[in-house]
Parts: sequence; structure tokens; C-alpha cells
Amino acid sequence: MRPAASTAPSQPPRPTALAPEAPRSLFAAAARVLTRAERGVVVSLALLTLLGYGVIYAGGLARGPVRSDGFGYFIYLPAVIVHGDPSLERVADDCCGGRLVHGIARWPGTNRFVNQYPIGVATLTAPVFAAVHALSLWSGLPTDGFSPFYQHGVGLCAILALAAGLELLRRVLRRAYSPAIATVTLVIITLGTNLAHYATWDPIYSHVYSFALICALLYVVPCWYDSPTTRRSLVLGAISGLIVLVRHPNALFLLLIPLYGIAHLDDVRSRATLIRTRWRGVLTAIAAMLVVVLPQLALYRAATGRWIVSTYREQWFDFAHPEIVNVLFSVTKGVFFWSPVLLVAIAGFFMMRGHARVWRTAIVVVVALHAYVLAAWWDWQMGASYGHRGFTDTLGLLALPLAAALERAAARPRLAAAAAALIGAAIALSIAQMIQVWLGIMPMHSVTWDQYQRLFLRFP
Amino acid sequence: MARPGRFWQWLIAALALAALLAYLRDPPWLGGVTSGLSAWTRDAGGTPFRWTTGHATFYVPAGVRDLIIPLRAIHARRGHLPLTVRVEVDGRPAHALALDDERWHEVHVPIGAAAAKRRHRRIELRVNRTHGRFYRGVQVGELKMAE
Repeated sequence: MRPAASTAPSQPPRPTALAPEAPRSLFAAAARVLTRAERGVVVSLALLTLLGYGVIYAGGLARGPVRSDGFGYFIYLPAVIVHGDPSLERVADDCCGGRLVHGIARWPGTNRFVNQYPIGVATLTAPVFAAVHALSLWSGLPTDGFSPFYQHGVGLCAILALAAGLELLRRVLRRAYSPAIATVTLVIITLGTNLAHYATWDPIYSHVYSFALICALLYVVPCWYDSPTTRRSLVLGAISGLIVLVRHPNALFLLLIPLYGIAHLDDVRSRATLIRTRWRGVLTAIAAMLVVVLPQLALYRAATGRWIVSTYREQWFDFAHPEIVNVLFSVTKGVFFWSPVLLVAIAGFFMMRGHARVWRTAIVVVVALHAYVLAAWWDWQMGASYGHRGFTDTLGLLALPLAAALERAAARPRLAAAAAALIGAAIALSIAQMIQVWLGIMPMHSVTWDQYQRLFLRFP
Repeated sequence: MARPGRFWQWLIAALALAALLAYLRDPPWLGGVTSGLSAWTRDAGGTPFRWTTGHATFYVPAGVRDLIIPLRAIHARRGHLPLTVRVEVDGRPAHALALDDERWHEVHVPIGAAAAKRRHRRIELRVNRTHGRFYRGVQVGELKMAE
């Protein structure tokens, strides 16, 4: 699915030090290597992540992937596929002595289980779980739905989701940037942030799936605006529905759809007109989205008597006192503290041009709102995590301004060399600190500045 | 000659899948597989044990005729209801007992004839109550087997 013609003002990419027509130099050689590397970058990053997964679980660094929040996302799979009971009663009786904890509680009045973790991750991984279940029945393996085969079958789906997200992001980047810039951007996004952590250490959390779906949205939205065929409208609606199904607050990211291409107030009026003239496509997309979301609503209705509920009963938002500075910069969980390479993306917002520029307003608005919502959450750290996991979902969006900054740096050889050194150091630091978390050296929450200093790059 | 080439690719893939399924029908490594059991640890007296969840599975060699499973329940009595453990062999009920104290109990499970010829017999423990955030059921000690 490619845009028939870009609706955005397009400019040809300016020659840069990383363009093939640049003088023969170290940078031209690097550009050639990176251009060739683009073909295999997604597979290479996926294999590297798979290696990390193997180190964690074969090395005994963590128990099975189904733990903590992952249990809540996973439990629907044995409930429906093994026990045929989406109410969670039979799986609770079988696995857990009739009780479920950690985000799953009985609703007052109906006394039925309500799970604060929605069904999206389970929906996306159900085919693999079903295949493992069939194989377990055939082989005589445990068929309780929680054996290591089920857990790692579903856990490894995170690597597939990462690869799918990176491939879609690569195609999005290639609409505006050279193969070399796309390659470097994908490497930075995967290894310079906590994205790899959420495809390995906590693979059944929602974040890598949200990342992939939001990259899919970035890919599909321009296609829909170019030509809102029935098929494209259905795909757009399905992706939108899945984004909500995986994590309900991520409905915020659907603002990317109406805000795409908006740069001035005049664009808002013309966009409203466009939406009105394309009402069939809009309704088709909304219908597809509702079909995808309906099973979740039906579960809420069956458990509580209401179609829409807040499942976070003892947790809350404090929109009047958002911890903005903490979620962005604190040593405790600041996204820029733990993934400093993303500061380059912030600078890149002012450098976006061409096909990427059409996304600028949408990305700024959505990322800013998302940061505000995260900062307003009562547990703004979002519990035990590496870096701030709330921002993992936004990494596809931040890749576009990041690529813009890289492209600008690449046009100036001295700046490019300095940028390469700094970014390389930031990636190395991110990987080292991620490994420190895996080894239990760096705490996963409430880190203080004294602790950080004492533990900085310390290994056994 | 794309079509004949494709046919052979599909045939090889189907044969490979059939061979894999035949191998997985009764894999020799099944004896080491467990589910619903924690890592081994030791109690204050040095006795090794593993925690079950509400449903634990392990395997014994097909030649085993008698199995002794040491079991202990911590917090056995909650609200005056004993903790019960049901033992199943290859999915069929084999034994059930109620634990209402915190002593070790050795449960004798006779392993009858198998319905199908396989290298291993599947033993499952189903516990009616769990406690804690890790859904701990009962403690299982080292098995004793007689052929």
C-alpha cells in the first residue's frame, strides 16, 4: 500500500554528505555501506533482539515472560483458547486457586472478574498461542496454557511485532529520507532507547505492540488521504481499533489521522471539507474500528453491566498537577535522562521538511498530549521499568524528527563526525544501562541521583 | 519450469512438517518438562522442595508403577476449609487428599497401565487454593519412584 501521490508539498532531497553524488570521502563510503545495510537492518535488529531474549531467559536472568503486567495481558489466552471461558473464572480456578490478583479484581455488584489490562495483546498473539496449544495436545506437553512453551511462544511474538514495526517505520522514513538516514534512525530507535527492552525483558507488555501499530498508522494514513478506497478505510479502521484494544489511553494517537498535513489554521477548514466529502471512507473506517473494539466492550458489559468502564479503580489522574519535569528529565524515570538520544529528535522538529514535515504538527500535538497524560498519572513512573515505558509507544513518531536532525548533521562533515560520536556513546550507554537493569544492578524504579552515580556503568 | 519447482518445495515442506510432528508425538525430552512449579529451594530444615501454582504438571518415565509425592501445605486452614490436592495421571483422577496441617505428607500414587504407548506419564497436581502474588499452592518435595 503506497500513497498514489503525496498530498504534501514535496521537495527533492537535498544532496548531503550521505548522498551518492557527494565527493568520494569517508562519508561517501559510510553512505554506501549504510545504504546497502538498509536491506538487512530490520532483520539484523530483530536477530540482535532475539539474542537478547535468549540471554535473558536461557541465562536465567528472569522467570518466564508471563509476570507482572504481562500476566494481565496474557491471561485471556488460556481463558479463551484452553478453557473456552472469557470471564476468567475457569482459568482462575485452574491456575490460581480461584483468585486473580495484580490488576484483576471482582467488580462490586456483579462479583465478576474485571481485568484492567485490555485484550489487544492477547488478540494479536492468539494465533501463535493456538498453534502452541494444538502442538501441546499432540505432543502430550502440559496443556494448562502457562507452560514455558506457551509463554515463550507468545513472548517471541514481541520480536515479530518489533520487526513489523521497524519495517513499516523504514518504509515511512524512506518516503522522506535516504536509505542511509533510515538505517541509522532505525538503529538509534531500537538500541538507543528502551524499545529493545520491551521486546525482550517484558515482551508481553503492550509497548512493542503499540509501537508497531502506531508505525502502521504512520504508514497507512498518507495512503488513505491519497485515495480512501474501501480496503484502505477498512485497514485504517482496523489499525485504529487495535491501537485502542492494546492500550485504551492510546486512543490519543488517533489524533494523528485528522492532524496529518495540518500546518496552519486554514488547513483545518480544508481538512473539515475533505472529511465531509470522504464521508463514506470515514464511516467505513469507524465501522471497522468499532468491530475490532466490540469484543472488549462486550467483555466489560458482561462483567460490569456497562459497555464502557474505568478499570483502574484505585488509580487516578491528577491533571492539575502533572509531573512534567519528572517524566521528561528526572533521574528517577525521565525519558530524556534514560534515552538522551531522543533529545536529538526534539532538535529535529525544527528541521523537518518535505514529506516528513506534513507530520510535524500532528506529532508535536500528540506527543505533547501523551506526555501530559503520562505526567498526570498517579504513578508517573509507571512502576518498575527501564526508562519511561510510556514513551516507548511514541518512538515511531519521534523517529521522523530524529531522521531530520540526522540528515541536517550529515550535510556538514564535522558536525556529522561529532554527532556520530555522541549518538554512538548514547546508544552504548543505553545498552549498558539496560543490561544493568537485567542483571539487577540498576533498580527498576525510584532511582535517586546518589544511587545512579554510585551504580553508573558498574558491572559485577 | 516454475510450477514443478514449486510443487517440490511444497512437498519437501510437507514432509518436513510431517517428520517434525512425528518426532514431537512422543519427544524423549518430555521427562524434563514441568509447568506450574517454581525453582527448587530448601526449607529451614534443608529439605528441598518446589512450590506449585494451582495446577502443576511434571512427567515420570513410563515404567514407573508406584510414585510417592511428598506434599506440604503452608497456611493449610483458611476459614476452616482444608487445602485439597487432586492428583491426575494422564488426565485421569488418581488420588485426592485434604491437607489441614503444615507437616510433610507422602502421597502414594499407583500408576496404572497407560492408555497409549508413550515414553512418559503425565502427572498433574490441582490445588484448590493459592496464596500470595505468585499463586503459591503446595510444596512438593523430591519424588520417589518404583518401577
